[in-house]
Amino acid sequence: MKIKAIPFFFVIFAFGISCQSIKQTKSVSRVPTILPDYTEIVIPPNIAPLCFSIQEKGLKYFVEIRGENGKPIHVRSRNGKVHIPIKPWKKLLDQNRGKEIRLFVSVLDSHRTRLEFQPIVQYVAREEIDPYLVYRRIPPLYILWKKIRICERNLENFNERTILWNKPMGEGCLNCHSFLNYRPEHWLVQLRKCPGTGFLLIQEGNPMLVDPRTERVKSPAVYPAWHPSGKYIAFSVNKVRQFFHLAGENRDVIDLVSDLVLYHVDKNTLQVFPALADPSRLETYPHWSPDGKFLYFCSAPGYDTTQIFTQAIYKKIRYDLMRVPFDPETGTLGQIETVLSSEKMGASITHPRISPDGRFLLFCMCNYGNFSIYQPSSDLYLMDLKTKEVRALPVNSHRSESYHAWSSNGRWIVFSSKREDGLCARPYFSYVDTLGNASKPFVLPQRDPKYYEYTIETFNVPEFLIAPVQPRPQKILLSALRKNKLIHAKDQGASVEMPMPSSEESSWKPAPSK
Amino acid sequence: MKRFSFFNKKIDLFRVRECIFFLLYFFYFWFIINPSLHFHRQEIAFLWGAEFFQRFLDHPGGVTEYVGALLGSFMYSPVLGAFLITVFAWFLTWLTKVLIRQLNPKAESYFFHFLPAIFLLGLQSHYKYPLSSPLALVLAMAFIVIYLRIRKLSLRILFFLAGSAFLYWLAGGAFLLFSGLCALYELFYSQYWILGLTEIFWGIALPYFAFHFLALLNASSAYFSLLPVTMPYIPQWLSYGFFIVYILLFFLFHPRIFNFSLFKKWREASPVFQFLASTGLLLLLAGFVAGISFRKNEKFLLEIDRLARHRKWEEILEKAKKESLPPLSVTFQINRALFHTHRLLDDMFSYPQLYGISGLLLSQQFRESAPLQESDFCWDLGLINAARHWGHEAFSTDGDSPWILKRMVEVNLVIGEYQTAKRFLNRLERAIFLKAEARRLRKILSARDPYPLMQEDPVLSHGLQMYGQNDFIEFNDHPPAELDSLIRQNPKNRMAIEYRIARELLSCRLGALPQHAQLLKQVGYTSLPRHVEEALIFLSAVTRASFPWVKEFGGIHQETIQRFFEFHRVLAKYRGDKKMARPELKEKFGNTYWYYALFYRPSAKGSEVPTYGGKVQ
Repeated sequence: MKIKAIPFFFVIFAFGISCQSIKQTKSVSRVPTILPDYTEIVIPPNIAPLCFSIQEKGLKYFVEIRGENGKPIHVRSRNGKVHIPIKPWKKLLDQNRGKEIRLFVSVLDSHRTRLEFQPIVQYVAREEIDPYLVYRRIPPLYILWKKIRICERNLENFNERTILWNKPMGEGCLNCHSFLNYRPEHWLVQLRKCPGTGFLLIQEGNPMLVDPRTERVKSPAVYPAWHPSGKYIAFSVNKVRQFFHLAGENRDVIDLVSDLVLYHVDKNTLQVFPALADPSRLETYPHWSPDGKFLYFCSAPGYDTTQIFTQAIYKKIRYDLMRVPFDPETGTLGQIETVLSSEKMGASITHPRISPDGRFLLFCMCNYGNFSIYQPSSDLYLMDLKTKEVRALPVNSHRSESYHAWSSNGRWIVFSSKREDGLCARPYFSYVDTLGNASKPFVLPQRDPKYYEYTIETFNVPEFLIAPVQPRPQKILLSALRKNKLIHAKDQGASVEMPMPSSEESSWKPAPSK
Repeated sequence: MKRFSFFNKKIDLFRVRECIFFLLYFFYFWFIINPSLHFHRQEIAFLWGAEFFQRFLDHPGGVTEYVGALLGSFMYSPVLGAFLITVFAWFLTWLTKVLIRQLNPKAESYFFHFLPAIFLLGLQSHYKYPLSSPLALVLAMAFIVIYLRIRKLSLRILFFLAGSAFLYWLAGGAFLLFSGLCALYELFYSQYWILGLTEIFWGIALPYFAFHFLALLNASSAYFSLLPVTMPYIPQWLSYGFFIVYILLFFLFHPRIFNFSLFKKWREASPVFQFLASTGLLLLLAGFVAGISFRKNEKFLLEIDRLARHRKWEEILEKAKKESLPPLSVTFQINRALFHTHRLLDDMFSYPQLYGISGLLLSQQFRESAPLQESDFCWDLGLINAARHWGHEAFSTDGDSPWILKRMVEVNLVIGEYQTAKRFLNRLERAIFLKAEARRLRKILSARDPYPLMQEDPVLSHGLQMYGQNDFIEFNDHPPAELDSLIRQNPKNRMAIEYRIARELLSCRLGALPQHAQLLKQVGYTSLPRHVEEALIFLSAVTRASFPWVKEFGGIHQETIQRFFEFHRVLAKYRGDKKMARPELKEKFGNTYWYYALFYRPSAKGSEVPTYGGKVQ
């Protein structure tokens, strides 16, 4: 009896202590402030846990996550950081597709009062998001670069792996990674001084180093766009000039010259079309329609580059959105037409991206120029290709939104936003329904809820993938290092005069070795 | 251990020698080399916390780099830095001594065990040499010593396999030293040929496997990371010599070779002779390596740069006084120091101005090799956005150095980007140093409205005062237009005005000098600075122009006018022959604008000048 009484009294004692911790309970008529802001959002059913930090003063924090179905999740914290366990989270979301889940947050304050906040509501979509996201991670880049990584993040958990980084490649530049139809075994990444210049083309998981510069096209390729058939890649070739403002937003970029060229993948040839290499125009940002029958691009009138700063000409450069019909069988172009005029919109149009079902065109608009990531005025707009209606998405902030992409099912978009501080771009996700309505965006979740409070890296060019990148990173790196295996592209088609300077001179360069 | 009796006391002179050697070693690094300059040169970055640590786990040698960064941070203090270097040297010496004893228990190590420490002395005299490298070598040596201690073959093999993989992950390329020496031992001592060859094969195969399958590396970093052979700034003989020493020791102390008659004489010599001879050789070698490794010019440059970082302007001027051919970076900092001590336009020609405008305003090429210095300068000048730009360049290049983080917090506070400032401050608070600065900045950022606290802060108030709202474009080499824009924006920007005038003096283009000299009144000048007077007199003599406005400054000093006449008299004495007149002109007028204009006037073709630390050719 005595022995049995001990645990009994212990339980009573412990219960008494815990009851004594809370003097009273009080309801708070608002949701708690949390960071990142994951309130009132639509989330994919396969997303990693949205760990967050409660920004309310307290001694202890309690969170209960409940859905209509499934077992609730309980999390306790002493410092406000809420780490949600992965397995129960996945189960809960899976059981509540198409329904909402609620996060009940309560905080024990210094007066031992338990404050119970209004629940945070999150809506679980039925449609999953592509499980992988590839982006480039760099410190905020001005002129000098040093450490650049291409990373692949599993969106269903917190795993991130480096696919390629520049340190073993002589600290050259890696940029503009691009995948064919969300597939991990067909993609390319641009290399500069790595130690060669060109792009790494991966087909069926086999990497190949290609130098696209030819007798005619002496500048390296820049922005790529895979034709859905995989047979062609449209590239821009640009001479870019970066400059710096001494008040306000620091960085700015303009193209002094730019044109579009077409790379034939199987033949390893580069073709120049006069219509896309007009010396009086600046053509850039190619993008194919999902059926491959149209090439969309941005185009602006050329200008006197010698007067660009003295007369503030750079502020007047505005791009129109154009498209040209393309016959994939013959590789020929039709007549160029204007899709959206910058004059009509009163802004410069950049980065066209069409949804996989061909219904919507997502693009950026900013005050001038084409380097929208450096423009606080850059916002995302959606055009319904059926009705031609254009509207701003409600995902915008007062800072730059840019570098967007559609998921393979066309229901999710990812874009780079500098809304937090105007400096570091983070990937934000938003659900877009069949009518083109976008939900409140949320930032890529991290295991540490305070991750973004101390990370000073920008997440650049986020692209969705349906499976992990192939081949394994070591094979990709070794292929990139084999400069003796570099394949030089050849010219194809009639000769067209390209006003493109033949230098590797760039606005960006590797940091000098110390 | 040989002992000597002196005055009936047994003293182990070899031990005493060892103590004296390391004491001298310590003092050498403390007073001569000054390890705080290593810290400054390398912009060593270390942050507490998992996020910083995780960066080091994805490649071999990362852990040693991490510990090297932690220990390297303490080189901020010269005495601690010297202590750390001496400790590494002592470990290497001790481990080498143990190794020799293991190779040949009957042999005395004499002075040979000091050789690695002497090579380390040469390596560590290079200010770029990271502390992770000797740490990796010490780890490799520790593993070798443990390996040789194991008598049982099977255990030795097991230790080799497991230990080499672990060592490779820990210390990168230093693993090659371990596997190489183990192989030598097996081949020439225990004569297990197959094992020895296997160990050589393993030494080649493991890094190959690593860069093909495990980590993102190239061949060079897979095999040689953390080894001094990969550091191009170090003379090859010094880095290879380090490893050759160990190979030689293996052969030298082999029982068959050691018992060779050539060494018999040495072994049979008296202990006194052995002691004296070995000590003499030791000192000779150490002195030789120290002599050829000591980089006096680089030290001077770094000292000046470091003083400028700490804003010790008087000390800069004192130190730079005797330097007749200062590098570009030193001239740049001298001019800054002159400005901050209110002497730029009075005394700039008292210091050699060998680089013209480039010694005053860094051009693009030099900024890129010294971004934080450029950021400091832009901050002083009032180009706050440019200070932000170059702070970011420094962050891209050198990462989480506490000085860079501090600059980024300050710059972002001034421009009102509090979120970004907080982000950088969150990192600064994890650094080992500049804690007081972090606390000061946290206090400001934590306030509901940071602005009033910023106005009271001496550093931030300067930024607030200078930060202009008018946009203009930053150019590569701070042209006159940029300085003019600054002056228009803030007519009381003393630095912009003085640098504008200094620019004219150095370029010998005095057309706008009268106009700009009048601006000096706006910033509190009641009389004209000496060099401005000199230039105006010169201008007046050449153009016959008069400057009535100088009356507002009390006119030009008679002394200056007299000196000008004297200058011409001397020149006339040599019938205008500049070459002949130079010595006398230099002696009497070397600190004047006239002397500079006559002998250093920039030519139409600029000369090729190397990097930030380079000298004029």
